[in-house]
Amino acid sequence: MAGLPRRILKETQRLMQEPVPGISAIPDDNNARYFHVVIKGPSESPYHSGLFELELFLPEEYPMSAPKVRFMTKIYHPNIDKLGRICLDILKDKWSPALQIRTVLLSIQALLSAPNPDDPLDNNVADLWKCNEQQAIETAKDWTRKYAMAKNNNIQ
Amino acid sequence: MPDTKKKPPDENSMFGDKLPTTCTSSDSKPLNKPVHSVEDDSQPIKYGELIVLGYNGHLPNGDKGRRKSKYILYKRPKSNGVKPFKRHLVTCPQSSKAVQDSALHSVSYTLTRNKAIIVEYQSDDDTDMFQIGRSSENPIDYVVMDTIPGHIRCSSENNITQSTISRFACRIIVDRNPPYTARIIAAGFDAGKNIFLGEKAVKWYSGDEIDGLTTNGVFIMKPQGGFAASAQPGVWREVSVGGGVFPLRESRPSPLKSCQVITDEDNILSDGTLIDLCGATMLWRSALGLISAPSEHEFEDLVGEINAGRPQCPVGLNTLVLPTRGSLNLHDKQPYVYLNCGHVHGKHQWGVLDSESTRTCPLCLTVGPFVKLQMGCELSLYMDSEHPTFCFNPCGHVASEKTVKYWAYVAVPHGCHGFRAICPFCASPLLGNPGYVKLIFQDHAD
Repeated sequence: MAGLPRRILKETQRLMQEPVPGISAIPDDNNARYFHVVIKGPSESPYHSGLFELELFLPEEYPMSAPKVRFMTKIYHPNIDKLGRICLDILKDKWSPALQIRTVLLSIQALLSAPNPDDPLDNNVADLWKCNEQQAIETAKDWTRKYAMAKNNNIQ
Repeated sequence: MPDTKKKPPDENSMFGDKLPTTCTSSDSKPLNKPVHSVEDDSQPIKYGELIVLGYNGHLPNGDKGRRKSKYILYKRPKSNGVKPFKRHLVTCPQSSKAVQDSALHSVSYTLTRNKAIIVEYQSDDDTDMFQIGRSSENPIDYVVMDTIPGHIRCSSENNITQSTISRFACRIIVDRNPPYTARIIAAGFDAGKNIFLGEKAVKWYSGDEIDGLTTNGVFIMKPQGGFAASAQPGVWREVSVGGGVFPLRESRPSPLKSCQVITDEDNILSDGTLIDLCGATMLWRSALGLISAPSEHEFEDLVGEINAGRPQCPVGLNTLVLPTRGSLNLHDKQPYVYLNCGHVHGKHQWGVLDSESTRTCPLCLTVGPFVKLQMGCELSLYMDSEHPTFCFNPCGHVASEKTVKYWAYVAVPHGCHGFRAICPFCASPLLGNPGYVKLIFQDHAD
């Protein structure tokens, strides 16, 4: 694709050559700014052994502004809403051009290990997480089994 | 030349390569004859260098003739030093023989309108004399003009309206024989080989002693512990027309001489001595001391080793290159630094708040100025031969850690009674505390 900034080329190259453990990010054949991402649910989290698909798009201003990232696979998480939008500061006001696709995806992976119900995006999920954590975790595990394991059922 | 291949590269062989005559002469100190014969067919002996602070290897508009950023003192083919010889009390100094005879060096101390002491000087076969001042007349070997700090320097040189440097500011007398001791003395001889201290000049006369100070004075500061990595700045002193050392006056042109001569200090230039002429400050490096400064080649290697780590701009992910000679046109390879945290980046526009001086570092979000890195290329200002990994605030001149820390600690005279720390490569006053920052490269990333 013509006019793709050198930085994006370098990031893409490195993602291919040295992928982050538990994460795959592959650029779309027709749009080098659009990545198909799969994050493995971290062990010792309710998302363990799930494979979560995400889409990541690098806007025109990238890296001066953050990539746009969204979960495509349904996930039960206080910081991720029904539309797959993610509540993560580095994707908003804490964005810095020193961050990369790699670091963004690592942060999302970390968010799966450490849900933060005090800064919720989905209030219903967050409320349950706070008042009955055990039940919330069970629901998250259930959703993981339902949506993130049967490979062909999970695309919205 | 001895076969150095057989010898281990110890200190002796290093000395032997660079200063052959110094070495051989120290072995045969009492006899100078054989030394002279060695000198005649080899290069002239280098006594040392005077480097004006604030220039990075050359004057902004280039070095011209006797006006340059650095002056090297070589042994003269024939001695031209002078030493005090006779003293006369005269009633009309202008008409006295010593003053009128243009072959005779003399210093006139005007006591009253019709009473003066004239000290007649005679040539001294054992010393060489080097004169420094603002005048471009012949007797001045090294023409020094007021230094304009880098941050207010502009292309034209017209912004000095009134100079504070004396036309005949000082002279340096160097022993022609090892260890080539150099002494600094206030005031220089003019074209008529005279020095006049007017009625108003500070001077003192007691039966057997006559001495005085020049208007703005000549100050010296000897670092304690030599000009080495462990050096500490010393105390600034004033040198008199007779070569005595005195505490500083209350303010620079003050007519009041401060107390007593300091007898346990002298006017000998040791390696690293700073000389201030009120408007320009010079560093004295002895030929021997310069051995510890990096050579051009060593410096290129040191910079090359940093560049070998392929430091990257964390935003552009492009490789940055530290230049070895000035700031070449490196385009997007040119490194920049956030002065408050030291993170090195390429040029980019992210994080500009109100102005270029308040920008947010993408790596640590510290807000501060973002400036271009420029190499400190005047290697005689270096304290050691370590990697240049620190830079001065606010100018961004890069040098080794010890170099940057030493200069940030040295108070250099400024104006009539002020002192401030400056970048020795551009004379900009240092900002903030400590006035420098350690550079943090994102390297070895690939």
